[in-house]
Amino acid sequence: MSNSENLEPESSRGRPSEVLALNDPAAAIVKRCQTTSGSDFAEAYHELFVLFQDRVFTVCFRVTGNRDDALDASQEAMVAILRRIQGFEFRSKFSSWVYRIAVNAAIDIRRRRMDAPRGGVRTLLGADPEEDVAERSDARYQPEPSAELVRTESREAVREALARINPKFSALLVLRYIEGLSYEEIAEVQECNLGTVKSRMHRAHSALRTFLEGVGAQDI
Amino acid sequence: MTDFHELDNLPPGVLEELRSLGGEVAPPELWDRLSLNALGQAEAPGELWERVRPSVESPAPPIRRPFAFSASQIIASAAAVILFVGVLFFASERTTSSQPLTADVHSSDLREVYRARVFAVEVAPESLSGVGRHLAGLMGASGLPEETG
Repeated sequence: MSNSENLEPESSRGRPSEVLALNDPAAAIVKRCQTTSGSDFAEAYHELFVLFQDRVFTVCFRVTGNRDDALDASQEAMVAILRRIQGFEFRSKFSSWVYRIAVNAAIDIRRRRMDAPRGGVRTLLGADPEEDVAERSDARYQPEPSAELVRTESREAVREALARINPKFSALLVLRYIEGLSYEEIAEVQECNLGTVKSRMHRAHSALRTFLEGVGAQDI
Repeated sequence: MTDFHELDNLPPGVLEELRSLGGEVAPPELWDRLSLNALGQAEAPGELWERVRPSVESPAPPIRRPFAFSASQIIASAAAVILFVGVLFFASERTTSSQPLTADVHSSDLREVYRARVFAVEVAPESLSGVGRHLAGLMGASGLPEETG
């Protein structure tokens, strides 16, 4: 299933959209986008773009692992925001909606590139993040570090890990540790409850640790 | 907000490295691509755009081309030329047909042709009048019958 199917306006969580709109720093610009057209709309959208471009690009860059794919994913995300902003109803923070679109765009790009992966290394630790990696045998899922992957620089190892583990796990780690979102905000981005976030984060941590052990960087 | 920090049980070094990967800056190319593909307009690079902006945004006076004519002007001019050529044609025809002999006489070749035709005409002596026979005799004609009575 394509992640683009998850881009519909956010589901209601029972919170008054007016209150969320008042507390959302992007609300004024978003409403300008929704109530203007032509050059006024382009100007308002550009302000919105400036506000979110770095966050969107960072998420896409860390999930895809390279700048070219990050640029493609960021472009797709910004186009999706442009086309769907009229349907945004402030049932969540606007930034959560933007993060959701960016994460989905980056994951889509990663999956499209998996047919021709750079360096021939397949995405590690399985394709389905819902599977419990803790129950898998170490022999089967042990990464096969190439000379390229065996690096002593810890930052490079972590960067590689984000680009190689399951992209949904990468997205979780990026949102939590790079973008600094709370678990509640991640739940809002992923449209799930806190328990699900907790479970997925546990698996993401396991995947990251397993990768780092495989490349000899477990002692960071 | 619920505190879930106990879940962040990664080694401190890994957490530190993860947090250091933030702060990427989107390249300017992103907006260029977006404006080109989604907004349907491409903007020139800033410096180049600033150089051409005055000429693009200021209304330029209409340019008058030196040989720009309207369709009605072209049709009227063509009709006048046709009429003039027609008048010239008929005038020359009338001049030529009104003086055909004069025109031919002025040609020395034609004059010789006419002269040859004249001297080549043979007439029976009996068909000439008395005056004619007398003139023909003066010009050296022979075989003329003697005048009777």
